Amino acid sequence: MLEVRNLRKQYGDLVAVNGVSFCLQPGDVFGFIGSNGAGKTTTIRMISTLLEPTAGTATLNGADIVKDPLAVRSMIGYMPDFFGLYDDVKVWEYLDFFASIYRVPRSQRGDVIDNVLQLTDLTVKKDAFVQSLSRGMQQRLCLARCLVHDPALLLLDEPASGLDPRARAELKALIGELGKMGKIVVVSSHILPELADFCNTVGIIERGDLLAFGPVDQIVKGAHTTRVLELRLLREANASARFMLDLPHVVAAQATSESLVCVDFSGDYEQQAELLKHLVSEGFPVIGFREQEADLEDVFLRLTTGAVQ
Amino acid sequence: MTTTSWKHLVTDNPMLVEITRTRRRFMSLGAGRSVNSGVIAVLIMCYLGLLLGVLRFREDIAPIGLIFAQTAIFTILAPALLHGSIAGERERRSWDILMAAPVSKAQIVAGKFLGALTVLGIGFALFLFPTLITLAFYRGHTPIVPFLGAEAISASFGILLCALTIFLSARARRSFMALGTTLTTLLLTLLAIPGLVATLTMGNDVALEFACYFNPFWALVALVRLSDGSHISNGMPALVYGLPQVAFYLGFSAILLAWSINTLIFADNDVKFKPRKASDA
Ligand SMILES: Nc1ncnc2c1ncn2[C@@H]1O[C@H](COP(=O)(O)OP(=O)(O)O)[C@@H](O)[C@H]1O
Ligand SMILES: [Mg+2]
Repeated sequence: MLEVRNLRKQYGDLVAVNGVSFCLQPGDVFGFIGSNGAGKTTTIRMISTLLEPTAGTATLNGADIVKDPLAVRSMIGYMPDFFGLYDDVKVWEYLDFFASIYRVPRSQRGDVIDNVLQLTDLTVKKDAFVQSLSRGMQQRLCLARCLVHDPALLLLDEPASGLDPRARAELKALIGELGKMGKIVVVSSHILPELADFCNTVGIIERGDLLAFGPVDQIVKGAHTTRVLELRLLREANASARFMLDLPHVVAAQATSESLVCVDFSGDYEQQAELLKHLVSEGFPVIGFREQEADLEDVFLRLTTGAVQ
Repeated sequence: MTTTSWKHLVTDNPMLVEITRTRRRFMSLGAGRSVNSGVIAVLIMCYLGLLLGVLRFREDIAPIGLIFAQTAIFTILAPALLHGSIAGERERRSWDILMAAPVSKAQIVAGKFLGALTVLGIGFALFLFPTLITLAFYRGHTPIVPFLGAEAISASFGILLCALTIFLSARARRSFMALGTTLTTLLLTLLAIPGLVATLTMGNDVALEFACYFNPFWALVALVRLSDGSHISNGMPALVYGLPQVAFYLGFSAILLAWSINTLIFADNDVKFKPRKASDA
């Protein structure tokens, strides 16, 4: 279990991370979303014991990142937002180097390397030189490196940046796989759709503040006190909008075109059915009536102001 | 050194994989490593040439002369091979990845240092063979004590070179800066300062002797003169060459290594390497 409590980092006057707290369980794939400069990398580097927090701390399976960094390090796989690969080494040599640093017993190293290569689909590249790999492969090699010691927590900082769509899709599948293996996976990104479909938990950070945290569906619901209904009419969109404004639970109603009306509705589903009944009995030619699906993107745009430090 | 720290730094240090890595980096041949293969081929040729030359002129080459050459080669080779040991990791940004691994700073420095000593040890072993040939056949007189003193000076100075290069590499941002500072430091202490002292004091032997006391090449020359039976007419008594230098080199190496470990603390993250904002200043 990863427990982050009031983690804070300050550079002079600049508060890069302002008391972030959250808790993750094994199997959680956590999408850490925020625009550039929001504080994602700083948070991740503090958890990976590379940066000392100004205040607050985090514990991973009971080990404290400030008091016992060596114990934490042996349980995490950290993938920074750059590759940091060595040239002039072969793929297996690279993995062998990290396997020995992470104290994988010599007798098991061969098997471990074969396993992570298979998982990251790099088996055919085992004897290739690192610099000969494509960008997507190098990214997967970095991930393979993070996996040699079977860590409990994976910290992946913007893993999908700079990858082509295919490599991106492969990476997503791989990250989902890792969550199923019971690891805690933290994936940061400034591009929302990149995370939305394979994370089960999200956190939205802006200017160092964690604005929202929780399971994806809960976040999406929580941010909406009203639902948005979309009505399609044959005609009289404007008149129907004016009519609805006087009905109960209608917070706002606006015709967006000749035939479309958007309604901010605070009632429940019963009351939604009532609304439709009123409209029809009033003689409005309703041909479509549906709730707009709120998604993470809306929540993100709603919560953040777009301000970047 | 206590048993725990010995275990921590040596027997139980996962960074000893640096030895394997050094070996792979400098001594592996084959496709994809053509530069390496070329350099190794040239080195083998040079070595064979040296062996042939030594065999041919075995009676004319003074053993300590060969040790002098060996020390000169170490002086160039150690910075050339090791300048990137830490600065290079930082440059490639593999450093953060290493720092996030469960190894201590001391273990990293110890690993880098022991990896460097492997290269040095191989060089030393390669040179030992021709040196022993000249020792056996040299027609001049070579007493065993100055000979051993010369070998000890060469080896311990080599260790100091490794420690110095690693230290400067730990402090530098870029590996070529580490190389530059190392070579400049060596040039200054080994050549420029003695030269300057000699000029300023107008050949005052005592002053020069002081300026060069810890200069391995000066000490080696003194040992050659000693073993030839001649003695230095003035300046330091000849007996003081050998042990003091060795002790100084080893002690200074230890200081530099300890200092490197401390230096790594601020290489911990890139805070110091980011341009400072106006508000921070
Ligand atoms: N070493 C540093 N010194 C000063 N300010 C920094 C340093 N590292 C990051 N920052 C600042 O902290 C804020 C958060 O940065 P970062 O965590 O890298 O954001 P993100 O990864 O979300 O894009 C930014 O405003 C950045 O300029
Ligand atoms: Mg970042």
